[in-house]
Amino acid sequence: MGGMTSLERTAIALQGGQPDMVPVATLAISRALWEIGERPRTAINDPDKMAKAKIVANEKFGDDIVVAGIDGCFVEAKAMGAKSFWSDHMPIVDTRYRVINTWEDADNLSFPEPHEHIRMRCVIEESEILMDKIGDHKAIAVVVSGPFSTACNLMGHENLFRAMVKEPDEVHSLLDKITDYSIKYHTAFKGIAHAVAVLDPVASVETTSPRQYEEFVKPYLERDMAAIAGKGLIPINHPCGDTTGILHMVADVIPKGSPGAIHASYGNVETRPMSLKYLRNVLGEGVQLDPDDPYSIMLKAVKKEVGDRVCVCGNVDPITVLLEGTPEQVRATVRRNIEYGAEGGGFILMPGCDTNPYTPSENFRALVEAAREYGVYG
Amino acid sequence: MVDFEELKDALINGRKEEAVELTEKALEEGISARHLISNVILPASKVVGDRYEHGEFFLSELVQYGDTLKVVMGPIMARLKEEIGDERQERVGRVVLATVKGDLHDIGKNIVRLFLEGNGFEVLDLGVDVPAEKVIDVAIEYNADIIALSCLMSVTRDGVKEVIDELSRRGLRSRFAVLVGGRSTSEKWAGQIGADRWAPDAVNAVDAAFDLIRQQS
Repeated sequence: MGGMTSLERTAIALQGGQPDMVPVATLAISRALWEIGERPRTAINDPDKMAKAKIVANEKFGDDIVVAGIDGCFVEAKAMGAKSFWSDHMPIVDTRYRVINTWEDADNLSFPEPHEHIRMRCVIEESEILMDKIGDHKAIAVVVSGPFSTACNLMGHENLFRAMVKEPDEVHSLLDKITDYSIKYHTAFKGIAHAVAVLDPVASVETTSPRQYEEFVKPYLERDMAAIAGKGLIPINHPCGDTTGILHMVADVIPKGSPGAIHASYGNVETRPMSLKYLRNVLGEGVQLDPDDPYSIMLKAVKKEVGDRVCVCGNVDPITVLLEGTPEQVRATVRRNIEYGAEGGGFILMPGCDTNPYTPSENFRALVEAAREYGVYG
Repeated sequence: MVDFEELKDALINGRKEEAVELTEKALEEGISARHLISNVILPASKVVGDRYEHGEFFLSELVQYGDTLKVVMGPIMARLKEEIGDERQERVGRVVLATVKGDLHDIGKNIVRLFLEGNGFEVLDLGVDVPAEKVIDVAIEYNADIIALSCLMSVTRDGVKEVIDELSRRGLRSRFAVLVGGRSTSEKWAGQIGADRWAPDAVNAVDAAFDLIRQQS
């Protein structure tokens, strides 16, 4: 181990600098509960159990970042009236029930105080406990939802994407209200977390066009991120999927002069022609592809494009490598990620998205061990 | 005479009223439903698919195309019924489509439905969070050729395997082709659980569905 604590290492990387070694996060989030014999269903509204699980999992796997929260994509929408649906993994928003069916519904949304809504309160309290117990040496990051994805949770995909074309003013008015409320929740983590990761899975280009990102996503995220940074918290923008055509905007929402990071899978060169075209544009036609690992190579392009102005996080495939692969495959992928992303610092190694709770322990361990082995800065 | 290029353009770009007006005019002019499907609907669907695949179209364009396709297909299907009566041989194939149990993500599934319908498949969409037993019961009743299953989350992938295992338990595995897709799936995994085909997106799902129908016949 180097001379820095996990917190110091992560903080330097988030500022774009080069720490003693590459920081690493497992994103073993719902899985953490398994480590104390619980499941999300039995513990989600018990901040003590949630915090204990995250600490036990962190001690077991030895990574640098501990994540507060579990259903981060959905908490804001639930506070505004969305209903929960339990999958094994976490309570997601039940999109069969729509909070907003008419613009009148949007005018009548409820905005409970963060401490008065059970899910918001539990995440805040979990983060407080984590900060109190390990926040002096571990980086605490809380997961929350971006305004655009929250709007989608309230309206449903098809209605939102139809309305952006036919009734853009109403969509802007809704996003404005959601952003105001989101800021209230996101800034409630002042002093009880180090970073706020804003999850915005609907904003990737699998669904949203670059023009729509510019008009309906970016201005609201910018406002949110500026408020987060204004409270001394480090913002992380997670658009989740393919960032082809929006990557610069994804990086630009991090306030200038503030530390911050981006995190996504960035695209899949095997299944998305757009990703492959982008990769070849940035790295040249001769770029070498690995059919067993279509994600890692994206880091190289992303680092080249925006690595000088924002910390880049990623990009181990959480399914084919971490869930289904062997420890040897995990190690090889980590090595590639470090080769593509670590140079000069400003890089945190982690899965490209949340992990599956069935991920083998030896793969989480291999992720961290390989990061320690290959990630030392000379 | 209705200009097919104009109609195609209206359909592709989601100009609903214009597309319906031109479709009705074409039918009034005596153009057969079959001719419209072959020369307007199928090529338009291909253009939309190509544009989506190459990052020129996104979800908003697909939603508008879907809205337009739905209203245009009304009068075309009514005319087609008159033309072919109850002949079943005309159909391309029947698909039962569902997002598996435990998963509520429907946008990818809805795009697949749109593209399958745009390419002449009859699709019965069972929605989201559909248990294996229901998928199979409906597939039998509907006399489906293909069971198409979607899941986004890796934690719900077992729902796909449950359908395949249940088909085997009931001795029905060879009766239906199983097509699998969704963000948490992969070709390798689909092969491991015994699916017939995997598709990374809606455009490839249509190609795979055509292949499966060819193999069955």
